[in-house]
Amino acid sequence: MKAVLGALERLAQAVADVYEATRSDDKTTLQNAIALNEAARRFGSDPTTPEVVVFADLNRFKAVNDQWGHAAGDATLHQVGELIRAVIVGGCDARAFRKSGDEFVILLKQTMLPVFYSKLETFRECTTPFDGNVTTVSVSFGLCAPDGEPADFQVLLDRAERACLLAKAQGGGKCVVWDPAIEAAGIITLRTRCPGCNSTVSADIPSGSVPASGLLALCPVCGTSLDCEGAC
Amino acid sequence: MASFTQTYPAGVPPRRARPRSGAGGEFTIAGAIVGLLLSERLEGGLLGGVLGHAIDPKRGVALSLETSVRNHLTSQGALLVELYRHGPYRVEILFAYAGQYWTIESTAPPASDWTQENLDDWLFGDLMDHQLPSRLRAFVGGPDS
Repeated sequence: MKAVLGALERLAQAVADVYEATRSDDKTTLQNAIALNEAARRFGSDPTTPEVVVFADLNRFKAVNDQWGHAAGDATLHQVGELIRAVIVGGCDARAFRKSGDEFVILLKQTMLPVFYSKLETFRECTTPFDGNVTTVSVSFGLCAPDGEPADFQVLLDRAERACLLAKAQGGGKCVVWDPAIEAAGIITLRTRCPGCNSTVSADIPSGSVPASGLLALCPVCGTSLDCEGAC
Repeated sequence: MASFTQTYPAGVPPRRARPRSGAGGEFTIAGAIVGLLLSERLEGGLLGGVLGHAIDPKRGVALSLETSVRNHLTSQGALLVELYRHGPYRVEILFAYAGQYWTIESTAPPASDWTQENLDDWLFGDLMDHQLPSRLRAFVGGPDS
């Protein structure tokens, strides 16, 4: 009987481990896209604690992969994941997922927004010590809150991603909140040659959104700011 | 965990083999999965797990290369981030230690009579006992075997 109980305990633990593994990201200590899909199905089901959807994307990540190789890219993803876990999951009581590549999704209680904004500066420059060198990326955020209608997670996520495009145009550590004007402006695809590294750059930019600085986007290869003059 | 001496192809320098599991456990899990598949009921999975446990020969079974490396690094205060297999003989690992990320790699000497088991044993021993210490020699008190 003792052996049977022991076997059952180990089996239950094994099942729990498998469940956990299928929802854990393989490159960070965050949750993965499967867990995000599950969270999406339940999104908005608790009206007492409304959440906003935050889309996060790394800047200059391609440059890290190109310059230092895939292991440096993985180290960078892991390091940024640790930062998100410590600062946003831990500091803002949020849930964070790696959606794919260098894209992350965060589900944040609306009451925690002031705390979240106060932490953004942390993501202006994220360094990762790797094999005696240091890689540097930054993170931009787009945010969308439910507008009173029944929350459609996919709509909110698409809006947050679009707002994130604007945030990327402003540099790292910035967060742009979606509003209908962003949607109305539409998206234009910027194709230009980077004055820093001479790479051909293609970037999606919300049209009519050029900030006062004239900055449109960061070159994904070398991080050089692409201004309106370069784009035009 | 039990120690184990592996036999390698002639001319290949000896390396410590992966640790062997003392109590198995794979039979229990495999039995549970078979039971679940056959019965499509939780009770079937539980019964399969119990039967699997009952027939477990309890022979030492090697953990996978990734699990062996992960466990060893964890015991040294380091964290395995990724294990990359670059072809049959070469493995690279990315790990974090003391707030920094490091890579080491190991390449087994080509031989016609490698098996997957003794190849993974050799790569484990080479990574943990040779590549890791030399990579982290700059660290005083770093993860060393």
